[in-house]
Parts: sequence; C-alpha cells; structure tokens
Amino acid sequence: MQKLIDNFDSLSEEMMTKYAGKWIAVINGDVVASGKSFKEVYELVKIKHPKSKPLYGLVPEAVPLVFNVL
Amino acid sequence: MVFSFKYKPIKLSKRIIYRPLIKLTIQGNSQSFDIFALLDSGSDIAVIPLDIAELLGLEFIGENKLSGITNNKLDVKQSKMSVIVGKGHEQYKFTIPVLVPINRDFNKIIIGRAGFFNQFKITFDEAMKRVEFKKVDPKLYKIL
Repeated sequence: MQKLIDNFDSLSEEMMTKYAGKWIAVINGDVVASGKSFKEVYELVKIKHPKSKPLYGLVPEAVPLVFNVL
Repeated sequence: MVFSFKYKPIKLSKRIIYRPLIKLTIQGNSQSFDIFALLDSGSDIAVIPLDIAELLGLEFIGENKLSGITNNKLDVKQSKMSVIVGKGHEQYKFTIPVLVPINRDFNKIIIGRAGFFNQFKITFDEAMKRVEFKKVDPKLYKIL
C-alpha cells in the first residue's frame, strides 16, 4: 500500500497536465507508459516492466468536466 | 478514523482545475490493479472499460443501459468487483457493483455511489481541495 500511496502522491500538476486525456502507468513516481486505452498501457508495462505493479489511471482531460460517460 | 486524498491539479489554459481523484485497488477473479480514478458523487454506480473487466476476470451477471447527461444510452454489462481503499494501516476491502460498457471505445473509469458511498462518510472539501473518508458501518447506515 505504501508504494501505491507514493505513486499517487507523486502525480504532479505538470505530469497531470502533460498526460491529460491519456491512460498512464506510474512506477516509483515516474510515468513508464502512456496511451489511449488501459490495455495499450498494460501491454507496454508487461513488456517493459514485467515484474512491477504500477499505479494505472486515466488522467482527466484538461477541460471542464461534467458527468457524461458517452 | 479519517483518511483523505488531495485533489489533483490539471492546468487548463491560465487556470488550474482540481479533481477529486482517489487511489484504490480493484480486484477480480484473475488479478488486481492499483488505480487512480475520479470519485463522482453524481454517478449512481462505478463504470470501468471492458478491457479492464476482462483482465480482472470479472463475471458478467446481467445487462442494462447506462445514460449520462446526453440522451444517448450505452449498452452495458453488470458485474461486481472488490475494492481496497485506505491509507497506511487503515484499509478497507468490500465489493461494489460495476457497469461495463460493451463498446470498446469507452475508456473512462468512474467510482460512483453504489456500494461505495455507504461505506464512508465522504466530504468533498473544496476549500482545502481534498476528499475525506470516515468509515461507517454500512449495516448501521442502512438501518438509519
């Protein structure tokens, strides 16, 4: 859980802004993969960091957001 | 006991938008993923993309429709997944219902109210830009 917390706390404004709208994988505070879908990022991590357990997430887009799943 | 997550900032032109993202572990029959996701009190239920549901090994137990603020509706499958949320020694594991759109273009992940918000007293503290969780007994909450 500590690694999970560290990875989450390391999500900086710069990082969030740079990857807005994309899925990312974070290991030790660094974005190690990014892409349009979770699966794309997951497959990259499996190749590059097969033994790691990253923090995955979709960075919300840098536009005002209201509830809209479509 | 109370734990909290700071809102995450995203720069929008000349100003910054703060979003209530939380971190949690989601778990299915096959594996688990550590994720961060938008905590949305306006969503009735959690929603995850189909590719995550398949990799987790979730079982689908029904079908339904899902609508947002537009008139269009999405075809979804119904399932359940385990979540682990907390900080440090204070961690809680429980099961929540989740909807999975069958359209693979859907790529958002949202943590909505069903099965989640009744586990905690949740405070969106806009002034301090953080979301606070205080664990409650969901059974007691249901009775009240």
